[in-house]
Amino acid sequence: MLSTIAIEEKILGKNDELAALNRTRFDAAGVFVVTLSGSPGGGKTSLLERIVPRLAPGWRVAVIEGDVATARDGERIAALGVPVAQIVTNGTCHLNAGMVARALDRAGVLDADLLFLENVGNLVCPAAFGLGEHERVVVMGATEGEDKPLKYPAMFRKADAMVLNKVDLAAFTPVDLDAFETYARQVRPGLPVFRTSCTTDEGIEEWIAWLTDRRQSWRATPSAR
Amino acid sequence: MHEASIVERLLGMATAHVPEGAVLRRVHVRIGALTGLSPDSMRFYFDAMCPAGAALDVTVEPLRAACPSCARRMNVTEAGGSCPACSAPALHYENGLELDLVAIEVDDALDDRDRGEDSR
Repeated sequence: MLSTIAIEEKILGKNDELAALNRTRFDAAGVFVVTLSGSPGGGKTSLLERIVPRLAPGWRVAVIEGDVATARDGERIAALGVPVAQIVTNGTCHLNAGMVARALDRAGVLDADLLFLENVGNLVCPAAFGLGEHERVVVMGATEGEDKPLKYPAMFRKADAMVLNKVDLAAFTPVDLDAFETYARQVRPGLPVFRTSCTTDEGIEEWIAWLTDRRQSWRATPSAR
Repeated sequence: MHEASIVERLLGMATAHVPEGAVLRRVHVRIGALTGLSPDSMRFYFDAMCPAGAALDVTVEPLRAACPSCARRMNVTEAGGSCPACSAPALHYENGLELDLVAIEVDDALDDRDRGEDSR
């Protein structure tokens, strides 16, 4: 005989619980945590290579790198001389809160003032899995085309800022950078946007100023140590 | 893409609710239009992962939207549209991230057969 059993449970409840636990650990340790998400090749690691040396004199910076395969990005960050934990997902297309929790036990990660979580390059899946971070930044290569925010809205809807990278290359393509920003704000009204280039350093200081400002706001909240 | 890991979690939760001796026949989930999940893709992974041959029902919850300019409220099926009344480019969504296991249907026929044999 068939019978129906009512359940009403959140499917990602477990991830949400682990993410909340991560957030508690970040706040207790005084670590401000920023996730970088975006498509593969948008420049997430290159941006870290540009900003970490500028931040490192004043701040202890650490990075958790998420990749489907290889420790190449982790090696690039390690060359900067800051603590880095590499997560290799072996095929999984996103980081989840449990993977990050395990990486937090690696040396130096929770001793930082500012921790970056670089997610697997992907505009779809990472949007569904909160990691406990304080800010979510979506990094896009300008040459990917201005329609991307409309085509992958979930990622932009959850973003706290967009870094529109590789703007030095925009002149060589038909991309419309103003439309890129307009579409992003159509999905996520008021989204702060930073146009950057890792080649010319355009916009890098402005983005660092935003990160500094966001960290100050977080430190002023009661949850931060 | 991430439907695979979500369906894996879903199946784990659903099977945990199946009473001993019963067989899972149907799983009912509710998803919001802002989750970016594809019901077809969820069914594909569900069929591949569910050994008992159960079915997956996916209900897509309507999106409740409000216009920040003219304050009109409406239900829409897809995110990303402009306001039909005043053409403001973006709407504010009040929901859309639902991802819930609503209910399961189980077949406890095995128990019935046992009882039938007992009474004979």
